[in-house]
Amino acid sequence: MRTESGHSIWINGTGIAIDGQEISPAVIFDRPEIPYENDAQMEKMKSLKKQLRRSGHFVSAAVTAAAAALNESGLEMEHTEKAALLLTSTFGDQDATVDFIDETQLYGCEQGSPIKFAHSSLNMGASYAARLLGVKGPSMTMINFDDCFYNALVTAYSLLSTGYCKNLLLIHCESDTALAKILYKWQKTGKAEIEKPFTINDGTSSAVAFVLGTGKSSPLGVSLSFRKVNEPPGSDKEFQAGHSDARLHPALTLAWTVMEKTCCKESFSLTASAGLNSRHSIQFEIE
Amino acid sequence: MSIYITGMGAVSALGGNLSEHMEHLRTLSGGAEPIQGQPPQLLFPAPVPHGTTEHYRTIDLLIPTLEEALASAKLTEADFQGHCAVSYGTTASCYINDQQFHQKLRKNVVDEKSIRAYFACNPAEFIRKRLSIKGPALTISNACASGTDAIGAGMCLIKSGQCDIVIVGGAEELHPVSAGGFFALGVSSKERCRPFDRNRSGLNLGEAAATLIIESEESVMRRGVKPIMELAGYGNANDTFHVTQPSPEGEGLELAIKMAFRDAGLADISEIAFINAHGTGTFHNDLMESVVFNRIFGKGCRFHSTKGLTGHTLGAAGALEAVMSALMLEAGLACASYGFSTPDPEMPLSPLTEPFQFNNSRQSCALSTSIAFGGCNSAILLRLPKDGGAI
Repeated sequence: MRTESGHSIWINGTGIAIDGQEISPAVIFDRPEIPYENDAQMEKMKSLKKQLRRSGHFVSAAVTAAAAALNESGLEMEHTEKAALLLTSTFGDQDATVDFIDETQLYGCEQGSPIKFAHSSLNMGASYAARLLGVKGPSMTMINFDDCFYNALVTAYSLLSTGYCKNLLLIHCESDTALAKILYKWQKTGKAEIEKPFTINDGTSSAVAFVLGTGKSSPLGVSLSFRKVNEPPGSDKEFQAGHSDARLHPALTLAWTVMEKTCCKESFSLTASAGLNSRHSIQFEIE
Repeated sequence: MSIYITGMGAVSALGGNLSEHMEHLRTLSGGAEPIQGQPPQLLFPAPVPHGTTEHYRTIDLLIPTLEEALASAKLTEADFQGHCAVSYGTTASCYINDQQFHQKLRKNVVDEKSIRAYFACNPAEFIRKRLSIKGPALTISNACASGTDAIGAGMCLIKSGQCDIVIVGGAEELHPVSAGGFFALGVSSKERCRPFDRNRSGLNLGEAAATLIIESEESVMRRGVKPIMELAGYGNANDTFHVTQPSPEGEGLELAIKMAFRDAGLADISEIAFINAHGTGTFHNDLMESVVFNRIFGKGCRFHSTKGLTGHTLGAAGALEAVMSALMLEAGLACASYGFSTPDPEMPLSPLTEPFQFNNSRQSCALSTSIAFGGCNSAILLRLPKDGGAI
């Protein structure tokens, strides 16, 4: 990339959902809970949970993390409507895809469910997040085995810095699937000699979301610089929020560092890095 | 900052290269004959032989378009050592669309060869590895708008100063899973599709790939190449209406089109010679597009759909239609909307019924729109470079 010093954007809200459940920074870092602004907002969140009750765990995790990040950012509805939405994932909602293919294989290609087909589309997570949270700006879904979170940050930076949006909801979501389990097993036993572009843990459906902006729009806002470096990863952080999926480590590392920073009152900067694959890492600097 | 298209390549039912596409657009003749598929529906295969079993057909389709685009842009391997990236759209190639693979996965007996094929078929990563590109490789999977959004994401990478050259495009193979899916939705047609026609009965799926080389103005000057077209504007908006149906009023599409105009600095919409509409031949899509075009452009709007010639190529559609729009804009000729004959009284506008010849020095722009599952709406605006492309 061109800028050796990395890219700079603002993080105005962070949300984490492990297996669909929001992980509150208040629990992890003893940080004061961000209250819902009013009863209407509280009702909105209750309604959101109701609307998610029939969605799959991938969609549920993505929307829950995104809603938490938006709540933390305090972004007003008029700005949320104009925000962009970017969802990144290595496989997407594989379970939903598999559901439809299963049907066509079991009952014939004429017998698939239209609802399952619609939900097998890889952009359904972003679609639900946009619809339920009222995000009407540019929306994109990216599916990459390699550099999944880094690619999303680069694209988010591009959209923000070129004026396509002033705020952007970035979601990295991963689900535990049959393929993930097989790859994980192979990795542990050394059975496969294929180049594995990412590591797999026997994890759960989880998501990390950020409200990014061109400026500081929340009292908890921090500036972020990031860059990809040609160094193998060190030991990734041990996360306290359960047994998280290793594909999410770069996003979780960033979320954790932001939460650490917003919990301390000092004005120093924090740095962190996380492995993208066996050869590259991503470095973050938070101020 | 201006961004230029310096190379293009395409394969679809219309042919295996750009000149075959232009020839068919000029004469409005179909290329390869559509075939009857299963479940019962008409399908548009591309005249590209099947390649190795190392990767899926989507990659077989992508490779010739990549080679054609690289050759027309006069790019060498050395050019990729700089600030280059890939941004490519697909809906199916990078998920488990390989039924054999899926059957094995269900039985927990996945072999290494299947896994290799699965990982080899992420289009952007395939191109990055093939050309040893060091920059980002983005695979955009935004359903039927994937191709247009991949172009848009590539534009952003250049505009933000992160890259000089981006390989953009889209690729999609015909596949029983998507054929079964659109059949299940009740929107696939057994007859040749008739976009915007009163008697339209749904869409035909097709397969295609289209690759474009886009560059910053500085890169074009440094390499001394002649740009084919300016990639002037991009817009994208979500109508947050429904997971599969577009909003009837098309607020999202209107926002996307206006965003593309703003991005291009377009002050006078009469500079737009024609619109290549998404025009799938489905009831809701075509009605909505007609309503939006009427609201923005009024009764004089000239638009067509090329899906009667190529079928709906899903993740490739936006890129393929951008390439065909560029060819037609360059030739000063917009083809008639193939398959249209009877106006729909519910629609405020009808598409072109005859080829439209225009003076492309005055009407120097073309708009291409894409609409997708998940409420996605995208638009790109192409503009013929001034002074024949001399920069």
